[in-house]
This record gives sequence, structure tokens and C-alpha cells, in this order.
Amino acid sequence: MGMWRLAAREWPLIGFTLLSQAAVGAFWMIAAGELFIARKSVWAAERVATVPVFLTVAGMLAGAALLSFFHLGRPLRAPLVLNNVRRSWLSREILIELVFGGLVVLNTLLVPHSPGSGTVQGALIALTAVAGVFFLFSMAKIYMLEIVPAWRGVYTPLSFFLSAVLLGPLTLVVAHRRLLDLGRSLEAFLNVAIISALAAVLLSVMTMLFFTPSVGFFGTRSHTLLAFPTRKTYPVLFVRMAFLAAAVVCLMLAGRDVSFGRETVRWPALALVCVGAAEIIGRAFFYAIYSRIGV
Amino acid sequence: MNAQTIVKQYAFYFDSSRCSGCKACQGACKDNNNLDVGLLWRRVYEVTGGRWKKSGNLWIPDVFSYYLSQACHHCENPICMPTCPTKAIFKRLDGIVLIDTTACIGCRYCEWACPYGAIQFNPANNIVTKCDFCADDLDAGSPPACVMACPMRALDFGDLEMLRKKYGGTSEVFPLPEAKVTQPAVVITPHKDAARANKDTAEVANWEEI
Repeated sequence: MGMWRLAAREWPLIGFTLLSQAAVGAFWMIAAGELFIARKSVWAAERVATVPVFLTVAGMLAGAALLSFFHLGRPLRAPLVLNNVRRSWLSREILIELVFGGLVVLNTLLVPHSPGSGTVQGALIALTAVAGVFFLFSMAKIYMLEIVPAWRGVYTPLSFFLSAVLLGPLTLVVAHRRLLDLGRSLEAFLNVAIISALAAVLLSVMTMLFFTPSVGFFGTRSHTLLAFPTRKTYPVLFVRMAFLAAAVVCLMLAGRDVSFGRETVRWPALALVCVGAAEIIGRAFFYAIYSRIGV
Repeated sequence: MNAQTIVKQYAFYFDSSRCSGCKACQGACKDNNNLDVGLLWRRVYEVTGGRWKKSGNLWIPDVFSYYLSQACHHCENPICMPTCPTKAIFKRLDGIVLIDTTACIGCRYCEWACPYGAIQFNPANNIVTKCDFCADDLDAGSPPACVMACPMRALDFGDLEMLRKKYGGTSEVFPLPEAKVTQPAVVITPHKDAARANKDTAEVANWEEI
């Protein structure tokens, strides 16, 4: 139970990381829609990049930033966090978050009002998408500490990236249903993207279960680990996988008008609830398995 | 040691073979630094191991136990320093690693990164704290409180190189991590069973009190 208490203590970080990643993933979806699909497909006239869509991304980022203050012992000193950009990944993460947030605001102001997406707007979208990559990378680097084997490996950046791809587009689709009505090509794109991401998450959970140092069944062991994670923690991963499987079913049913009585089921929203639950469990597990080499 | 001696890197020396586990060092540290309940800048780890062994028709206990008194090692390469986003953790010219309490934001990132459990969060003021080598006392010419309190003379302090010359020793004793991670400024004379602890099923037996 001690490990779960540790994870519960980190609830602001669970919220901050998941919301930030969702925001980045959502922006990637906008970027993909604008740069690769909108100009070529039949629904070019209907654009993904509208003000409300950008505001959803900005809202997620603002929510994440707000949650991060609850993690600090002295939140009023938060501006000092940029003092060590040269050496601290935490400083870098916040700096890149500010840059990404600023670029999202700039996108909101410039992109929706310029039909045809000129070269400058395209470059701005691409730049923001790349800033999102750096944001996720810097976030992952914070946890990839030399003395924490369970966090040091590739699972950390992989899980952050997958959370972004999973949560972001799904949140946008649920928040803006018109995105699903834009055309069959987009719907197919979304379904393929989201279901691939779900499959990748399932794969990564399996990888973690088996090979992560100090946690996985076949992972390397070190007997000088503080708070060695016990296998009693593992069953929660199966609960996570059940939620992910349920999300896949919901998405597969999303294209059909299944109704119970008069109510049509909002399958994408249900899928988002399942994915959200799965990701919260996954992130809590991530914090719960903190164990360091040493004392 | 003479306070006027030029020190490049202050360090603690600990003789595990002498330590009786009385925890006088731990108590003196708490008293001198007025630490709240739950904060232990110096901790005494009780390492135990071994098993029953069959000898002829008899089963006899083949167990061992030793103590490790550990504080912040004021590492030569302190891993906590680059993690701190506000530069609140800094190293003095004499090697002592200190925390600027006016700059700490209580993010606890350094706490995750330290392999010695030296950095501890103080819920009373919501910032992290750690052993400061009794720097004020040291500057006034007095030794650190823990060194003065040890009845077994198991603790000493001084310049790292001088301590290495004087005592030999190591800084890698079970359950401490490999020294290459942070290059801790500590010299330890291991207990005779420390080598066995590395191979055997040894564990820290007093997690609850540290």
C-alpha cells in the first residue's frame, strides 16, 4: 500500500503529465489535419484548425499548468523554476511548455483567420508540432534518472508519447463532434490512428510487465533498491488493459448508430472515459514503481 | 582538524567495524539542527542477513548484522545539483553542498535523484532539507555534532584526500550504490561481513525508523 500512497501523493503530476500530453497529441492531430489532409481531401473547405479547436488545446494546457502548482511546496516561488535551464530538465520542461503554449496562442490568433493556410501558417503549425515533441521529450527526461531503473528506460518516453496520441485526438473528437462529420477520410484516419495507438499502448504495457528493470517478470534485478516493487502491484495493469480493450470496442462501434431506447450511445465519449481511466491507472502505476538504487 | 586547514572537499569518515548502532550521532544531529519528527539528516542503517546452516545433524544460525551511519555525502559530483530547477542547491568552495532555503520551491525532484536518501522534505515549511555538515559550527572551529557525539569514535571528518590517506577504506558498502554515480565524499571502513552482504541475502532491517 505504501507504493500506492506514494502514487496518490503525486496526483497533481498525474494530472499535469496526462493533460499536457493530451494537449500535445491534440495539436498533432490539428497539424496532421491541416498539413497533410485538409489541402488534399474533399473536405478541404471544412478545416480542423478553428478557434474553438485551438482553444480546447490551450484549455488543456492551462489546466495542466494549474495542476502543476499543486505539486509545489512553495507555489508562489514558481517563477524561479526557470533559473537552471542550462542543467535541469525540469527547468527546460517548463520553458518548452511556455514556448509550446505561446505558439498555440499564436496559432489561435493567426491560423483560423487565414483561409488556404499560407506558407507562414503552415510553418507555424509545423513549428508548434515540433515544440510539442520537445515538450514531451523534456518531460520524459525528468524521470529518466540514473538511479531509478524502472524510469530510466525507453518505456518512459514511449508511454508519454502514446498517452499523447491516445488522449489528444480522442479528446478533440469528443469535444468537437463536427470533426467526425468532416468526411469519411478523416473518420478512417482517426479510427486507424486511435486503434493503432491503443494497440501500441497494449504492447507497451506488456513490455513493461515483462522486461522493465526492477519491475518486469524478466527485468534485471538489483538488490540494493529502496522499496522494491512487489508483484502485488501488477494486477492493476490488467485492469488498465481491460479499460483499453473496452475503448477499442467502443471505437469499433463508433461508426454504427447503436441505440438503447431513444438514446444513441456516444461511443467516442465512452471510449475517452475508458482511455482516461486506463491512462490514470497507468500513470499512477508509473509513480508507484519508483524505487531507487541505493538507500 | 584545524579549522584553518585549506580543505578542497570536506568529507565524513565512518568505521562500520566500530559502530555499535547506538544512534547517538542521529540524536545529536537532530538536537543540533532542531529537526522535526520524521526528519533525519543522519540515519543509522541496520543491515542484516544470513540463514540457518546445517552442520551434521544440527541446524545452526549463520547470520550477520552491521550498522551504517549515513548523512549527505556532499558528493564531488552531486546529482541533486543539476536536477534542481532553481539552483537552490549549491556547493561551497570547501565542497559542502547546501540548500538555499529561500530559493527552494519544494518540487522534490532532488529527493528522487539522490541515491543516499539524504534529501528529505520538511512538511513544516514545504521545502527540502538535508545535512549541512554543521557548516556554521565548522566555520566557528567546531566539528560536526554527529562526530562529536559518537562514543565509539566511529565517525571522523576532514578533507577527503586526507581521510583516504589516513584510513584507506571505500565508499561502496552494501547497500550503498556504486560510487561512480555521484562520487560521494565519504570514506568507510567496512564491517567484516560487508563483503558477504553483497553476495548474500542481506537487507536493511530498520526501514521503519529511518
